[in-house]
Amino acid sequence: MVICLIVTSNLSKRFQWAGKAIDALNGVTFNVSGGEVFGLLGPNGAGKTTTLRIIMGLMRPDSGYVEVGGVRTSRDSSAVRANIGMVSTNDGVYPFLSVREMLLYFADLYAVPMSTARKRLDLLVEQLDLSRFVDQRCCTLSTGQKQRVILARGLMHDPPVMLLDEPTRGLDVVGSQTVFEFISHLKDLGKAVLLSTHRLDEAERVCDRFGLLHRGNLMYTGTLDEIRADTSQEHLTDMFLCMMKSAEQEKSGDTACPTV
Amino acid sequence: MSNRLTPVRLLRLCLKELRESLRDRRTIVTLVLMPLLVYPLLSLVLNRVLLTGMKPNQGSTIIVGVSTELRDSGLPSILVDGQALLYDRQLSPVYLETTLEDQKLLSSSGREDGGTELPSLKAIGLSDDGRSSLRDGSIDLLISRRAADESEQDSEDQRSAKSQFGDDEAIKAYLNLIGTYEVRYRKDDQRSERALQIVERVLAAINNRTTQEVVGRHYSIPFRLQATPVVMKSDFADLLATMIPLVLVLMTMAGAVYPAIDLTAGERERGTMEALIVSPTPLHAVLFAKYVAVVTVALLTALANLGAMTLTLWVSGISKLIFGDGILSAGVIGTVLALLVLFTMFFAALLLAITSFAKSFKEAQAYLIPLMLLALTPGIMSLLPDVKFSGLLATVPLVNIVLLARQVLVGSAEWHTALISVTCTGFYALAALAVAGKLFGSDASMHGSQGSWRDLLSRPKFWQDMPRIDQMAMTMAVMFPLYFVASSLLPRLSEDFETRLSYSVAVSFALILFFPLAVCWFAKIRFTTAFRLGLPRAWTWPLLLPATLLVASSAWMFAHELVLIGQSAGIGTIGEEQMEFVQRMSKQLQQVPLAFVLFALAITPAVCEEFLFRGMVLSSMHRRSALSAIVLSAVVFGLMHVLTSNVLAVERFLPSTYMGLILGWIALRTGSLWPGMVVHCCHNGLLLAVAHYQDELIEMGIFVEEKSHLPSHWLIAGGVMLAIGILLFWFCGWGKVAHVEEESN
Repeated sequence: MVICLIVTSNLSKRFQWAGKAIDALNGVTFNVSGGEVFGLLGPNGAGKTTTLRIIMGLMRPDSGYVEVGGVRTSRDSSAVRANIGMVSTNDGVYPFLSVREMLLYFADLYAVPMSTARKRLDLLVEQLDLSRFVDQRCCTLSTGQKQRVILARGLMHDPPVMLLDEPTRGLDVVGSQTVFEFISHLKDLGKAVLLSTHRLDEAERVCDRFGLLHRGNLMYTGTLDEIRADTSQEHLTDMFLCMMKSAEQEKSGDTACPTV
Repeated sequence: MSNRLTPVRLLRLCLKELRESLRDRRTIVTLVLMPLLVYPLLSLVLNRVLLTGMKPNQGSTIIVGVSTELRDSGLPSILVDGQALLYDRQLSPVYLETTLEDQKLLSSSGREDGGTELPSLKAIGLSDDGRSSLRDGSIDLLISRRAADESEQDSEDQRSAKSQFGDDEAIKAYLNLIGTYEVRYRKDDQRSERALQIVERVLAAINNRTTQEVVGRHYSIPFRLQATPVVMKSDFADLLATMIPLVLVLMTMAGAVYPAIDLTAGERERGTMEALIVSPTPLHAVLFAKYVAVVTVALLTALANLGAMTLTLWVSGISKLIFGDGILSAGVIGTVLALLVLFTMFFAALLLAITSFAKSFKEAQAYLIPLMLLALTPGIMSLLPDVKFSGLLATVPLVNIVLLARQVLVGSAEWHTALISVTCTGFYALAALAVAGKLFGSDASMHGSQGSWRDLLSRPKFWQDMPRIDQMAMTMAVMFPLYFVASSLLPRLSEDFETRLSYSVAVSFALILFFPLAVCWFAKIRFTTAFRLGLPRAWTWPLLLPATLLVASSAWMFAHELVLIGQSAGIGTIGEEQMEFVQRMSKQLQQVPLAFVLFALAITPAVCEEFLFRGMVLSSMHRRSALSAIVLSAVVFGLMHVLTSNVLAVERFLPSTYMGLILGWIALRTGSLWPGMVVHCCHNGLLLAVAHYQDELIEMGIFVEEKSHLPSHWLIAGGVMLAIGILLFWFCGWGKVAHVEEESN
């Protein structure tokens, strides 16, 4: 039986900005199961980060709900957060702590017992190849090394759910490759991975299912084949452009997706 | 994985923050290099200031010009000869200011005798009236012809003297000079005024010697002054005694600024904040760890500064010049350090509140620069010599600590102002920490818009049952200084005792009752739950009446004994003057109708204080443990009574805290504010009625003096009554325990 570790149901969120109401999310519903990588795709401002923040319990939806590992964020956001590992584009490191100290600190934040945390650290050092610099201060690390440390940080408490928010932004090919390998590794571990990105080529490589988000609306969900069938487009990029045009034409009454 | 925040975990979080701060070389620069550089430089400046301040006229010659008509008289030589008399204390008059000047000169030169340290006097004959020489500074003083209106009298005096002592060669030289002289000096010119002072002393000495010679060798001048300076203090002592704590405070502030920015705005800048926020550890625990780290770094800076300053003062010898002997003792340094700890706790909280809002280092610095400038203004204000450390200033942050430290340094600290300063600063620290807690990692600061500050002050969307500690702390931080100032100032508006009482009632209702109610309304806190406005259950009513009467009529006995115990333990500040004030007030109270007295001093405090302390304060602390909530609210209740009464007395702390314990317990046990309010009212009313009928009670022989213990049989009876009363209240809470525990969880 497939267990849905992330369940979002009819999420809506409206912000007030300069006196105007903006619908950041409008009835967003999707599920992510264990061992599955779900790509939440959309251009900037589509509502990806808002969705992630609601999943983490940092923001309350105006309507709808989120369950992570069977626990609703509105009931116990602390328990929900303990089940999530989060890696974001803008994540940084503590320059004056060593990699070991930093990872143990985050384990402590997630109330991982020290003995377990040390074992977990050893495992991650091996899996992510951190051994050369695990006792170095973070300020001495290269960008790629820092990225690996950040990925390790998200796994220190061994969460069943991983949220990755634009994890490859600003990384070169080698750095991006590390992230892809990491995502595959997470999948192998049976974790539910939600990847939020606007890099469609990457998403196509690593995601099992997709959700195309545009102006707060989840336009399509499904596997690549399902979306292909829906949109009659071969590649994600084309699907996306089709989706956006379709959304524009929906406003004017014509719902047909033009051939690109 | 249990997400319980154990002390060990909290300690590890604190250590991480501290490690991070102390490894940063920018912290180390402030911590180590600044004290190493600043104090030696400061000592150099102080040395210059002190020495410059002590040098007027040292070693210089005072030039006295004698105008043409007196040039050939014996006056110049008499003045020069008379100078030698200055060192004869029998003949030379002593002026206090002169003595101090002389002492400084002697002390700075290490000499004990007057010797040549006083300015020497040189008299020169002038070829004109000498006024231009005086103006251009070539002479310091001008002695000209005798004043015209005195001339006749002078001639008469000369004739009379010559007829009596014309044969005496020793005084013959003076006879032709007897009379009044006109002396001109430059106004506001230190040197010229000093010359006048010296000449006055010389002439007084000559007069005395002449009298001695005329009357006889055994003549003794009838009235003399022997001025003995005990401790030599520099004129700059007060200024420096303020400057030292100010410099320490400023350096401590400087030490706290960098870690505060780094641990808050820095988290955002380097992209670690989001990872902190999404962790299940409560953000207030993370903030607390950061607070501990900032306080620790600031304290290390304070310690380094205090050490460097003490060493510099000691090595350079300035401490002796500033404080005299023995004042800069270990006790004084320890007290100043304790004040610095308190200030650091306040300032670190304030810094975190501000930097928690900033999204970057630059933004944090932009916020902090005005704060530092703001902090400098009261700091410099406290340097003014005329600033008196009054009750009002004791409520002003920073100024209160600097002025209190000055009082400690010069050995004149007072309990009153010290307690007010310490309590106010404590409340301010709590309030600042509460704001920091609200801002740190908040949605507004993470994804802030221009309306973020407005978000901070906007009404919440949802209603809550109980106030939070930060809401209580902020309420107290605003209310307490306002109440203190208003209750000190308003009564002064009228001489009439009854009107003053009316003002006090108005202040109490406005600040102790309506202000917390307004805060709760704004913060959407339900009055019924926060203030326990529900009535006790119906079946308990028959028990509540005797319980209330028993507790109210017996609790005061132990409060009275606690005052005496406190006094015998040396806790006490009531002096004779204050005792007189209390007695005067007691007499005045007897003149006011009892009904009004009861309204003003029994009903009003009972209603207002119960709403505040057993309402807002108790409820805000009740989330974790009922016992700690009762104890803490009682301590705050006790402190408030010590600090805001007309007669500020530490003795009141123990009995008020004890009453706070009883009233807090009653409120939680009965689940209602009203029984405690009635107890409070009856307790106050009983004491006021006793004071009102004092004379009658004395006649009946049942009045106990303020300072004597109660008879033992009274205490036994009181103890039994109190125990029965408490037992009855306990029964009233029967079946409610489950609810209380649930509430406390």
